Amino acid sequence: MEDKFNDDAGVQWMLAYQRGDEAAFDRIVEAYSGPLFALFTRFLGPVPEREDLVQDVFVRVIRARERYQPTARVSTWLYRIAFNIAVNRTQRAGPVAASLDDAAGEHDDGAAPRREVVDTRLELPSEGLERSDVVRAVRSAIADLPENQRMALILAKYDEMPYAEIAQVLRSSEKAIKSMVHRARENLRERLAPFLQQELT
Amino acid sequence: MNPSCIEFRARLAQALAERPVAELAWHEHVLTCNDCRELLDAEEALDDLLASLPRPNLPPELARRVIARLAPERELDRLLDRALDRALGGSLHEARPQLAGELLARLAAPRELAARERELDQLLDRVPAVARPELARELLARLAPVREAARAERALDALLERVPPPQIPGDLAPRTLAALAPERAPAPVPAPARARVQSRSQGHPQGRTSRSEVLAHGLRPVAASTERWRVARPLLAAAAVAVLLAGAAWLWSVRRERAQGEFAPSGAGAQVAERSASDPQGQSPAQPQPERSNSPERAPAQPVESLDALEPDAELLAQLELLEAWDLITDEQLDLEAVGIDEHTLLGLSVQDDVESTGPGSSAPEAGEVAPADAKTPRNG
Repeated sequence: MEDKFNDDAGVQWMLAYQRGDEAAFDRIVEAYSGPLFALFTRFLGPVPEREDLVQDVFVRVIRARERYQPTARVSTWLYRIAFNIAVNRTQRAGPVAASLDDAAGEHDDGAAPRREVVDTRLELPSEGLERSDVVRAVRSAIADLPENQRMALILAKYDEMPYAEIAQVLRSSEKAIKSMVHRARENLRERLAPFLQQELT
Repeated sequence: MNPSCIEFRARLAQALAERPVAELAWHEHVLTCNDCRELLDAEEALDDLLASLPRPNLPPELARRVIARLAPERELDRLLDRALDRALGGSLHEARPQLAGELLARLAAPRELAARERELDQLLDRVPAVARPELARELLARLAPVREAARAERALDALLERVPPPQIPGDLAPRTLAALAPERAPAPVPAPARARVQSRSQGHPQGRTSRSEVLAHGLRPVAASTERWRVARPLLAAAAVAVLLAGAAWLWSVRRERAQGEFAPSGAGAQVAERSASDPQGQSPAQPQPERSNSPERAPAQPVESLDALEPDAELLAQLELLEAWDLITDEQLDLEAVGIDEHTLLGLSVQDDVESTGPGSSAPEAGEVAPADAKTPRNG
């Protein structure tokens, strides 16, 4: 099993860290903190505690140091931890955050928005500048997806992760992941139908 | 058309371009969707139709025509070679001046043949191709939903790609490492690695950050509660085990006391025993006789004579201890049954047991059963 992931630098770093090489852990943090931050941002929205969540991932890595087994790529393992943390955070703090602009409006069915309000001052300047109707609608549609579908879509679309690895992240089968991504895209097509028409014309 | 239809038709479109569509006959979607199965059948039928077209056979005179067509070229080559041999083999002046005329004369026939072949080719080109003009339209119509779905997918991809990538803070990794420093307690590492770690922590630029440095950065102290929890966890576990053991011991003692209290002769029981002593038959009309049980848990009661005053009989106490030794004493049903039997009833059972054990129907306990100590000892009431 170990030989299968020998070409993964992350696995080598993790094994070195397990043997006591602290610098290997530094390399793991440097390599994966950015992707994890991006993953949390895409999954949870611009919530203020994204950095804390990234830290939580690495805290779990530190605690799992002794019993680590290279059964997957390190990125897959870290994303699995991140998914658990993100789901726990969602269940603890409520639904996925959207921007402050979304909170002002209402849903099509007249119901009040069920997402928590996030102060957009917490966003980076570029994030605020890039907001537009389309981007906001896409983010909102992604945020409304069920957790598994959302994570599968994010990993497949934005991280270009193979279905087999997504299946490891979500502890599911490859076939189920295909179905999840397909259903996620169906949901997005329904939610984004007006924008899709514009895009097609 | 449902999503799996769209997915299947996209796959079908891909299969039409790359490989035989028959491979898709085993696709699971075809088993459940009539429309897609019909579409696949139509495509397979079209494949079969195209495959059944007759293989083009070469006309028998083609080889002759090709050779004939190439003959002038070959003759020209031969003549040219001969001319060059002559020219280069001797003086250029020796070359015959009428060589060109000879060449043209000898090439006249092949040239005429070649001209006829060209005319024939032009005639053949004028024959229209045997094809169904509506085939392309039909195919395009069939593939329209697939193409539409593919377009919609591309449009959705374009929308998703409009979301800008998250901006990652440039100093995220150093800040994360600084915040994690208290959590990175030294682990049991091999000796060389340990030496390296110690040297790093003693002033190396990449050594771990202290807790005060972390707090100075304004970062979340990750390990404060974690370290306390790590120390407290085994203590809490030990305390929980101790509490459980104490509870179990208390429960056991309560059960034991209750069992002893239920089987010991009480004041009322002693009075009943005295009444029974005055009645040699041991039968009281006011007391209903309970159903007799042959279970070994029912210890034979002491005869009336042995219950003098309030002092319990030593043999009865020994039998009660034997009962306590059995696991069955903890059974709730057995407890209930034992509670419902008073001393008088127990005495009656004892008399009946003794009578039956001495009769012809009595039998020794089977192997594995626990027999009362005096089960085979007949005793007169």
